[in-house]
Amino acid sequence: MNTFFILVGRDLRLSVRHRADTVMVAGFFAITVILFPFGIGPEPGVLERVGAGILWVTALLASLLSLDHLFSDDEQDGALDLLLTSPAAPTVVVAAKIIAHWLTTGLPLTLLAPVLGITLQMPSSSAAPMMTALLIGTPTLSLIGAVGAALTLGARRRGILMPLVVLPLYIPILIFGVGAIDTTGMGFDAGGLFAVLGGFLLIAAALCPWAAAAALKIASE
Amino acid sequence: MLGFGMVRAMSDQTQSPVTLGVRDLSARRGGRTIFEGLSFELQNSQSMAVVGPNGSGKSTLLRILAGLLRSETGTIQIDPDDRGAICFAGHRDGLKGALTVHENLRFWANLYGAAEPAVEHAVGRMALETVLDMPADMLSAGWRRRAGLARLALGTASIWILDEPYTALDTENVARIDTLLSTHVESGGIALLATHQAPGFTPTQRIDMADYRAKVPEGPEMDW
Repeated sequence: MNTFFILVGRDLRLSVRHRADTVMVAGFFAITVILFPFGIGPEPGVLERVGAGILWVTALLASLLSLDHLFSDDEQDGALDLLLTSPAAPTVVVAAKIIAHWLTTGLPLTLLAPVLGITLQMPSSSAAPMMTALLIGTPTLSLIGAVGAALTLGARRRGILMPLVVLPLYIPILIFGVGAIDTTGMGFDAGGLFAVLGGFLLIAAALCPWAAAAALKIASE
Repeated sequence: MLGFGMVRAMSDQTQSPVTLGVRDLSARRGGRTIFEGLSFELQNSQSMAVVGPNGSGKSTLLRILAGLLRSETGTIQIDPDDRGAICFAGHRDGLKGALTVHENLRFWANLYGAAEPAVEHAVGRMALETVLDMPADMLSAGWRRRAGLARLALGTASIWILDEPYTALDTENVARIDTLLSTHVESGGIALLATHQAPGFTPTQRIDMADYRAKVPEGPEMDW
């Protein structure tokens, strides 16, 4: 457990030093969402109807954007070899990197979402379900994304290959994430949908660190 | 866990038996057998130089022993059989450019379970005092190498596996590595290094990868 916090601490320290990366992900998220009102127009009711979908799709893309260097930075400077030969178990290394990734992408996106919801004319009552859905859903994105990042590590055209691997796996989270926000907005109880999102998170947390560690081992060969 | 590491770092690894044995090892890379029939055994205070022409599988052998690659056949016996027993240093130093040299070293010390004095000790051994607060990005190749190899001097691993440790180092620092290696071996550790040059420090054994080149070339001879 101690090892885990040492590894998370290192990645957080690195992302503070490279804070442009975190700012760029949040900036991409904000700018892309703000583009939609311009593209769709301010007609009442339209933006409000598609707002949850826009936020989620943009969050998926923003999360994907930062996955690119989840492992590749460490792979390029040789740190990955050293981490894999260190006393820390590969699964722990991967889990720590996933947590650090979520803290620097998923969490800022979750905090930013209600503000961007206003530009999409979403009612202020939707802020709470929106943040809850993102809070449960974005860690799953980081977990699944880590498997994709590990699988495509060292591959040519990784920038295109990784979305092809990862995005289809994001679909269930997108469906239930948007559903949870919309259902609450319509005044129904969305507890079941949040529970499904939570279920995805638990399944992903149980499987993805191991899968990603196995994929890393193959990629490092 | 931390306490255990501290004890190990302080007392060196003199008492505990250390073994690195390999029996009938062979390796394939890209569908081609690189070497085969490789066997050796190293015990406390033994060291080995792995020599051979380019492409003869020196790095492959070291990466297999470090657990980064799978061998095609053969068995590897490592004692003590825990993840912290081996310290690997490859071509790339694994330093994080955005962190200072001190931060880099402290991270590895924490991960290896070495105590804070071990960091000071390692800094002294590689004479890194003047660059401690510099980001690793700013260092020259030689300084990076020194900062990277200072990891060894943290003193938690009993088996050192070094791939071309002398690259980019001047004579003074080659001597530093030699001292580091001989101290480690004298205190009961094992060192394995792939190198073209072996100045100062004389390994107890030597293996020439050219002797283990695969006898029968598989498939048609490719000519490109």
